[in-house]
Amino acid sequence: MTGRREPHRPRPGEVLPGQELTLTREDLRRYAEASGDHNPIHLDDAVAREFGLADGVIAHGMLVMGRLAAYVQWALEGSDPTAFRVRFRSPVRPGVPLVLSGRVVSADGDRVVVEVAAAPKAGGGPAVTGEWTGSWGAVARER
Amino acid sequence: MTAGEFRWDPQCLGQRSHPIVHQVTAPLAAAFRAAVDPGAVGSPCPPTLPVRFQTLDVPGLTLPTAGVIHASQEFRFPAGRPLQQNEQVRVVGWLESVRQRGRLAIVVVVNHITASSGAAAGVDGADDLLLVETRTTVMVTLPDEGGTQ
Repeated sequence: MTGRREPHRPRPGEVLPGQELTLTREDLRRYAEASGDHNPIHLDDAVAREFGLADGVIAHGMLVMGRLAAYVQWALEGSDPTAFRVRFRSPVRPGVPLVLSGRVVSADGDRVVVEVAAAPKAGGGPAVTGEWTGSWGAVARER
Repeated sequence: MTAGEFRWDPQCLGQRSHPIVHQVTAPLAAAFRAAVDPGAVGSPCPPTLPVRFQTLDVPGLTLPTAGVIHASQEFRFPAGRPLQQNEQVRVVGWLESVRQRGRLAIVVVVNHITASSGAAAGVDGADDLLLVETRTTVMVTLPDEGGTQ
């Protein structure tokens, strides 16, 4: 990610620039500490396998959702959500490159709706899909 | 490791949990931001920070330790802003619905995170400002007998 950019007011149908993301085991450990979610399926290969995850640990779905939020805020500098929802469709493993993407569904005044996805770079269906509804009113209060 | 047992009580649908008060401390927010927004492009309190405070420990619901899949997550921000550093919030949760599809139970838990008014902390005050509504859907794999109500 790069530094601050000028606020971008998108148009309906616009495809936001994609962003690559490869989560590491250290990312999972850091998220576990920060979120309080210490479920061992995210941290311990042996336990993950015990619960049927043959390839070992998987990322916290909420870590991917959090990265998607940061992605939208990067692509739409200055937008904070009024609503953000995702579906977790398949597990994300550390070390597997993902592409984060977004497409503007609607944009009206200060309100924007963006479809988002996190999909394996190698292809296949998205692991996480969702919808961000944002505005530009909230961010300035705290920055 | 035991998987535990899935239990839910239909009579507890909508019954609110005892409120829990949290402080959105700067170190907590900073650690969370470093984990989900390492480029620090978004707000100091990331939009998904409320997950740090939400609870699935709600009346009438017992989730097993295995066989639970986080299916979807939703945040709504009725106040039009994310959480803010150094504010005190109060969290209540409740079981919204349980549906069964074959050997899967689809469980929805809602949390309300409100700005806590200090003196009323710990009391489920109806006049506090709703900052965030979270809706968490998990899928639970049921044993052959279909789980316990």
